[in-house]
Formats: sequence, C-alpha cells, structure tokens
Amino acid sequence: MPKPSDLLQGTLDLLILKTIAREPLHGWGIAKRIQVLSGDVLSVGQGSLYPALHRIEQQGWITAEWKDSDLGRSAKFYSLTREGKKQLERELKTWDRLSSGVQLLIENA
Amino acid sequence: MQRELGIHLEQLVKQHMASGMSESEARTAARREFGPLEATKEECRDMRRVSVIENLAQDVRYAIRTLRRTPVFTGVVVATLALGIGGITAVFTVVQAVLLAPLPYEEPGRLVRVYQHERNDPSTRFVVSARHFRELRDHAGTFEQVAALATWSWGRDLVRGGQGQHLRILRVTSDYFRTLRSGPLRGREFERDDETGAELVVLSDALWRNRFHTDPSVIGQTIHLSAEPYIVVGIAPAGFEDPVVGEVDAWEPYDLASDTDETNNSLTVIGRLRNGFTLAQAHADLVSLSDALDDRWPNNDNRLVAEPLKEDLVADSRGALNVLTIAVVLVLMVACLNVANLFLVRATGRVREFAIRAALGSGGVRIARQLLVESLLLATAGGLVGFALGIGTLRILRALGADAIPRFGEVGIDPVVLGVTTAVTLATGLVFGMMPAVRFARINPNQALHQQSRSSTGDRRQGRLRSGLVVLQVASALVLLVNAGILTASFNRLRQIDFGFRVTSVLTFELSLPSVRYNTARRAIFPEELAGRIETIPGVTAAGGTSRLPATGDFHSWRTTPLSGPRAGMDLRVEAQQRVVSGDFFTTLEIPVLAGRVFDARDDDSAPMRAVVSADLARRAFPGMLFEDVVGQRIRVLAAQEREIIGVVGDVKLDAHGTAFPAVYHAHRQFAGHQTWPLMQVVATEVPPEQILAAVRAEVAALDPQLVVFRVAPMTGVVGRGVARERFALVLIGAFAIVAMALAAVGLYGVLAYSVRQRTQEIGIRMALGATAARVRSLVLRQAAVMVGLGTLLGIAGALMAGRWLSSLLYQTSPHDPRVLFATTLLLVVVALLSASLPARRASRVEPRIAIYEE
Repeated sequence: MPKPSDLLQGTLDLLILKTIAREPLHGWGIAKRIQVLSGDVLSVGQGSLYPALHRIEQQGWITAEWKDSDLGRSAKFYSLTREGKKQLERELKTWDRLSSGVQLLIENA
Repeated sequence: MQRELGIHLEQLVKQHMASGMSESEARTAARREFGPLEATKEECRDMRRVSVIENLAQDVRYAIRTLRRTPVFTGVVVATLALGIGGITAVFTVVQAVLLAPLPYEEPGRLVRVYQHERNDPSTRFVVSARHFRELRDHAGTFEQVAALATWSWGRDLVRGGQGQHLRILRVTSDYFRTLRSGPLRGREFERDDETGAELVVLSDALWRNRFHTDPSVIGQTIHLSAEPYIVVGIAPAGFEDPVVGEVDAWEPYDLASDTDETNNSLTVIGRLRNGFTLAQAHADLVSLSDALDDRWPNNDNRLVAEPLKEDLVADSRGALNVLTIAVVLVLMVACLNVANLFLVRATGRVREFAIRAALGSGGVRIARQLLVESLLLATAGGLVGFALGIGTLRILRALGADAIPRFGEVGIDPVVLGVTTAVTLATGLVFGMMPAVRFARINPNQALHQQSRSSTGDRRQGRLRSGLVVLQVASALVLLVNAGILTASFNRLRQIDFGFRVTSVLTFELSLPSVRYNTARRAIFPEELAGRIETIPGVTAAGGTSRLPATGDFHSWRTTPLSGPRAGMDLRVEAQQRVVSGDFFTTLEIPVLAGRVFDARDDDSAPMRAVVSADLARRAFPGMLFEDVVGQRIRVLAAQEREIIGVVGDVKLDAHGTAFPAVYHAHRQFAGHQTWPLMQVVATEVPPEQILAAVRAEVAALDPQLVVFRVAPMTGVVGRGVARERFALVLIGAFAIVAMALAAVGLYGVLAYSVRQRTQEIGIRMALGATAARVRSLVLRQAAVMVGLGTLLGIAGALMAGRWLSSLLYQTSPHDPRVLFATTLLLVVVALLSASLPARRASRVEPRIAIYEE
C-alpha cells in the first residue's frame, strides 16, 4: 500500500503533466488551471508546486523556457518532453488502476 | 527562481485587488497565502541538488556494476596502471632526490670540489696534496672558505657502559662545517691551531643522542676513543652528513702540519665560492694560482681545477638513473597504450549498449559522463594500487641501490612526486575516458545499431588506430628487452672476471688497535698472533690481513722505481699500488707464488726491508727478465724507502671491473713502526664463513676483550659491492622489460581477440566457402605478424639509438651486440606469437552455421 504522501506526490506530478499536456504554461497558469479545471476542489500551493516543477524538470519530463506571457511580462513556460508524454501515459494508467481500485473497494466493502 | 516566484506573488496580489482589497491589504493577504518564500526557494534548490547527486551516485553504481561484470578487463587495466604509476613514483622519487634536489647545505650552488690534474692531461682528477691545499686556502680569492677531509680515515672504538662500538671518524681541516654550512653547531668546530692532530672531536647528532643521552654538558668533557683521551668540542647539526662519504659518527682534526710529503695526495677538498663569483671566475683564479706555483715549485706537474660539488657527486650515478628514467617512461608509455587500447576495444564493443541507451533518451552528455566515471574509477584504483606499489618498489630500490647511488639514505616519498603521480593518474583517466566518450557523445543511434548488426569486417579506421598502438607497445617493449639483454650480457661478463684470488668461502672483518695500548712492537705482533689463533678454529684453512682487500679499488699508489735491472733508476709510468699484509695472506686468498717466497717470521723489523711484487710489476719494472731473476732485485718506493724483492706473486684485480695493476706488498711486521696500518682480516674456511664468526670473536676477545670486531662481510659481498650500480640497473631494467613485454603481449592479445570477435561472421562465411581451420588461423596470425613485425623493426631502431645511454654501465659489451639483439627479438616474437595463438585458435573453431546467422 502506498503511503498517503506518495499518493499525493504522484498525483501532483500527474496533475502538472496533464495540465501542460495541451499547451506550455507558466507556474501561475498551472496553479490557476488546476484550480479552475477541478472546479476549485484542488488547490496547489506554490510551496509544493515549484519544488515539484524543478524536480520533474530534472527528471527530463518537462523543459522550461522564458517567453512573453499574457501576464504582461516574460515568464517561465513549462512544456512536456517526449519522455514526459510517456511518463504521463504511465501515470494515467497507474491512476486509472488506483482510482478504479479505490472505487471498487468503496462500492463493495 | 526569484523572478518566477515573484511573478506568482504579483498575480496573487492582482487577484486580491480585483476582488476589492486595497493594494497593501492585497499584498499582506498574498504573502500570507504564498507562505515562506525562502523556504520554497531552498526546497527548489534541494530538488536540483538531490538529482545531481542521485545521478552521480547512479553513474558510480552503474560503473562499478559494469566493471565487475568484466573482471579481467578491470583487473588488467588496474594492474597496468598500477605498474606504470608505481614505477614512475619510485623512480622519479629517486631521480628527484639524487639528481634534482639540491644538496642539503646552505646555498649549495656555491659549493665546489677541487681536484688536481696532471699538466699533460687536463681530464685526470686526483685528490689534492697538502701543500696544494695550503696554497689554495691562502691565495684563492674567489673562495670564501676552503676545507679538506682526509681521503682515508680510519675509525676508532668507543667503549661506554661496557658496550663497544666502532665509530666512523672523518679527519677534517678547520672551516669544514663553515664551508658546508648546515644549521648551527653546538660548541665549536676546529680552528687552524687544531690542525696538528689535536685530540679533539665533534660528535654527530645521532651519536650524541644514542650514546650520550643528548647531554649538552658533554661538550668540554674528555671521552676515550680507542683508549685515547679526546676532548669533545662540539656537536654537529641534526641530520648533517658529509657530502662525499655520507654518514659518519664523529669528526677529528686532520694533522695538516705533519702532512709534508708533496707526492702524497691525501685530501678531498671542498670550497665555497664567494658570493657573486662564478665557477668560470674560480677556474681563472685556479689557473693563475697553478701558474704561480709552477714558478715556485720546479717539479710541480699538478694543477688545480674545480667542479660543481653536486655534479661531482652524482656524475657516476647519472648514467644509471638516466637509463632508469628512460626505462620507466617506456613502461609507463606501454602501460598507457595498453589502457588506451583496452578502453578502445571495450568501448567499440559497447557501441550497441550506448546506442540503445541513446535511443531510450539518454543524453550524449550523460553517456559521456558515464564513461568518464568508469575511467576515473579505474584510474583512481590504478593510482592507489600504483602508489602502494611505488612505496614498495622504493623500498626495494633503496635496498638494491644503497651501494650504487649516493645520497640514497635521504630518499623518501616526496610531495612533488606524489603530485606528479596524482596528475598522471587523473590525466590517464581523463584522456582515455574522454576518447570514446567524445565519439559516443555524437553517436547516431540508428546508424550505430544498424552498422553494428550488419558490419561483418569492423571499422577499418578504428582497427588501424588499435593496431598502431600495439605496434608502439611492441617497439617499446623490445627497446627495454634489448637493453636488459645487453646489461645481462655485460653483467655476466663481469661475474666471469677472474680476480686472481679466492672469493668464495672467505670471511672478512676489521679491527682497530688503540695506539695507547699498542706500541710499535705490540702492533707488529698482534695480527700474526691473531692469524695463528684463528687458524686453530676447526673449519678454517688459513688467515691473514691486508691494508686493502683486493678488487675493492684504488688505495695507496706510490711512485715505485727499480734500482737494478734494465730500467734501473727509471720511474714506472704507472704508480704501483702498495699493500701491507700480515699472517698467511697469500695462502688465504690463494694468490699463487710464481717465484721466490712470501713473507714469514724472518721478515721482522730487525731484518732488511723486503718486498713481494706482483707479476705485472715485475714485467713493468724488470722487462725481459724471468721471475726467478726478479727475486733479489731492488726497488724504491716513495722518496727513500728501498726494498729487496723476495718473491713474485700472481696478479689480482684492482676493482670489481677487473682492472689490472702493478702491486708491491710489504710485510706488516716491518711496517708497523712506520704508521698505524689498520688491517682487514681475511679468513679462508671450509665451512660457510658465517659459521665461524662466533669462534673468531672469541679468539679476538681472548687476545684483547676491548677490541670491537666490525664490518664483517663475506668476500663475495665485498666484491659484489663493486658492481652494485650495474646490478641495480640490471635488476630494474630487467624487471621493467619483463613488465613491458607482458603488457605488450596482453595488448596484442586484446586487439586480436577483439578483431576475431568482430570478424566472426566473415570467418564463418570463409569457412562455409571452404577455408580450412589452418587457413583461418593463418589469417589471424598474419594480422599479428604485421603488427609484431612493424613493432620489432621500430624497436630495433629505438634500441640502437638508446644504446649510447647504456654505454656507461657496460663492461666489455657493445650496446649493439647482434647476438643479444637477435636473442631478445626472438624472445619477444615468440611471446607475441604465443599470445596471438589463442585468438587464432578461437577463430579456427568458429562454427560457420552459427557465425553467419549470429546477429
């Protein structure tokens, strides 16, 4: 059984990867989009967002570059690498297994 | 990071303001919501650092796993590097200490040694006579100080607390310590007034510590040396050694006042140039001084000349050390070539592995770093083992070289050398690690995978590079082998020298008779009594004594003139060596009596002065006469001493290199009154010499319990010391040559084995088309033959060029001896073909069906 923290961390990676899968985003944009798309259920604080971004970047799943942004100044945009897309696939599969497992347990227990 | 987080914070502020807060309220709220900014930054940095360390740890783990999977490769590389680096560490330490490091005295560059040379032959070098020394000291203005030490100094016995010890004592003039300058002296050194043989002594620091318990009040006290009272006037600085004779226990003043014999060259002279004066100026000074002496001394045919002291001291060992340095550089080169080759072979074999890793998304930098980590690991391991090996080698060098190389006691591992070793290690790792890494950083996985699976003949350019490295290895190894072979031939010739006397089963030792208790009469009797007593020991066949053991070099050379016969009154062109003998010296060393008789009890101080001469002297002084007729002729030694010849004996050699010389032997019984002649005792035995040592000591103690038996050695060891330098060079070069040959064989094997593996498919096709196993074998052997052939040619050329470095170490052997050249080349070729035969056999066993379908 994974510990709650592992689950959380793994989930955060999934959320970030999925969020930037469609288009490159800056940190603020990622946080906002997670909040908006989850109907304000999920909120990622900067204290966990940025360390996670740096870690994922080190793992080679995302790359970053400074570009002009909608915020009126240049910002650091994160986008998925090929390796990142594969990782996203894996994370999605893992998540599917996990959530369906949890669902089953809730229904049948 | 600061900027990125700032943007985020600003957006929060804007959001709050949009919902109606004032700017300051919004800022406060945003900050609260944002949390601790610094903590976040720190955490972000942690994320990066962890992964760098994690990656590195991963690289190291992976490298260790990879290296452990190929233990032969890893072992060979580490051993190869260790041999190269260990050799370099040891040899450079010696070279640094002996050739490069300055002498351990203040401003050593100003120290010179002064010699006399013959007027007609400026290349000759003789020690200096006392009268020349006095003139030099008083008139040479370019010298700040001049001092001399007696070329021959006998020691004395120190008996304290019931424990006897023979001290090596150096007789020196005043200004000796001032000239050398090495730290402050406790007490004082000798002054000019002491140069009358005053019984004063300066103790070495070590003697003062060991025997006088570091007691400063010993200065001014009287101690007894060989029963004579000496006043201690000073203690030498700690670690002070004489530059010429090395470690001594004490110094006493030289009796310069009584040294008036102008033909007696007895002083080793050192001088310190005045500050700012050059050696050229000193030379000019000595030339004008010599000219002035010619005017005053009509018969003077000696002139003075100065040499830099350090050059003078290391000149003899320079040849050996140069050869050694070249040898070790060659070994290191072979080692590095081997490592380069192994890395290349291995990296080429891993093209697939890296192509796959690249295809899976490993960056080029990551692959390069992986290779780098591997090679640095290997280099570090090689360096560590090599350093340990170097310390061990240095210990062996020190044992071997103690008699061969001066200033060897000072040798210890040096920080400079340690730095060099580390640099070599790191450079080796970086260079050989980067070579494949650079190639693979640019690898195209698609092409590499394709090429690897379809190529059946291997990469030709790579192949040539590898073969070239093997050629160089073979060449370097052959250079070393030829040199080792020539040294062996020379050493064998040295060992076959017939010295003209018995070398085996002879014990030698020394005694020093205190002149207080031994007057002329007692001193004359003592060695005869001793020899008589020793001859009663079971196992002893004969015993005697001599002032200098044969084959141990030049000693007393005195002008000798025949007074009768065809050359009566004419000086011998060569000065004859004088030897004082006692007991049954000639019988002990089995020196044959060719005519007349040798000394016996009749030849005491009441009898007319008699001499025994060597055959060489008889032929020179009395040419054309039968030895029987030489008996009864008369000669004169030095200025006034006349002798009647009573016998002619066989020639013995002057030194371990077999130099012939004319000799005059004197009876100790007749000579004892003239001067103190310390005799080296020789005892011929039927049993191993060391077995009778205790009995000999007992006989000495029975005669005089206070005497100290010292410098005990078998005659073989005494003679062997004379060829120590040759042995030193031979053992080392021989060891290096064997190592280099083994490395070259490994290199050749590696390249061939790899090539066979690469060509498996090609070989399979050939065999399928009807090639026999023999043909396949010859295919591989031909490849080997080309490499070995080229390497041999290159090696012979190199060996011929290296020959001139060797000539200073050779005895009656040409550095280009064709037999040696042939034999060593043959040895190398045989070893090379043996190492080639393994991959050749493997090739011939290829199963065509499997080979062709093998991917």
